[in-house]
Amino acid sequence: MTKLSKRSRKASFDKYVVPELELLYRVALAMTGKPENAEDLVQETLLRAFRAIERFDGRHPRAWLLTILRNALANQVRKKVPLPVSDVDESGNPESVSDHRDSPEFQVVDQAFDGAVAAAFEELPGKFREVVALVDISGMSYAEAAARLGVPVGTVMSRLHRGRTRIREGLKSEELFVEGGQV
Amino acid sequence: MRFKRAKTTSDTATCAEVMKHLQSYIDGEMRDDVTARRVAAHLEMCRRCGLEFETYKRLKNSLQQLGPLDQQAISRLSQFAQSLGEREDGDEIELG
Repeated sequence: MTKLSKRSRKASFDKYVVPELELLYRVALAMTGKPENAEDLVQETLLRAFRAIERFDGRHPRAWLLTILRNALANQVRKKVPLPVSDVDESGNPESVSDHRDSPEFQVVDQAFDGAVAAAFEELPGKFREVVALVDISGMSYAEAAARLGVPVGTVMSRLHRGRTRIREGLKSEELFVEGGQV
Repeated sequence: MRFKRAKTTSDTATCAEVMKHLQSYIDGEMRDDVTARRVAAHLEMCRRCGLEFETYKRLKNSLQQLGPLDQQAISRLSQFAQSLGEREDGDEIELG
């Protein structure tokens, strides 16, 4: 493969990566839960993307970048989270596990779920995203959201339902759900 | 032996009714208390609708955690991206 010149490499980076900064930060924030960790994760993602930009074919940049981000996070998790070996107390008996959902595996699944929701939210068309943002993120009632947008309450309900359904469809494509329930 | 019939009285909503009202129910926006109680009763006994309810409730919980983005962080990341583009090779960058 012909190596891209510095200028064309930067042009590709500016075209495909830089416009997705907010999406990447939003998803990283949802997946890590901490702003400082999210910023580190996005930096790592940007660096990996920059190194790989020559091999990127220009199709589906968001999907490409989110794959890089997930791989970067998985790498961090492998480095930081100890393997989920059963705890054994000094007498050799397994310690009682009060809530298995606190375990690293479930934390990773939750992070993946939140990240996928954040990504799917950013993918929503504007008219659905604004209603979801007002009701779910800002906590407005249907009536308040309708007044803010200057549309009937029925329109808010319809857009909200369609927006959430689209997000859910996005989760299915991420294989975070099987039919009828969560994996 | 006689089998007990499934509860189909007006005390519980049908699956179709639940699907119609599910989003409003999750958002606490149902105006009709009677229908809300019928939806709640159905969710107790129907696994499929119950899973649907849990799925959308979890999705809403996840969305509620999304707030406005810290524009200073975005600005820092933008500067970082810019600095990458100005170098010949990202290998030289050290992450803080």
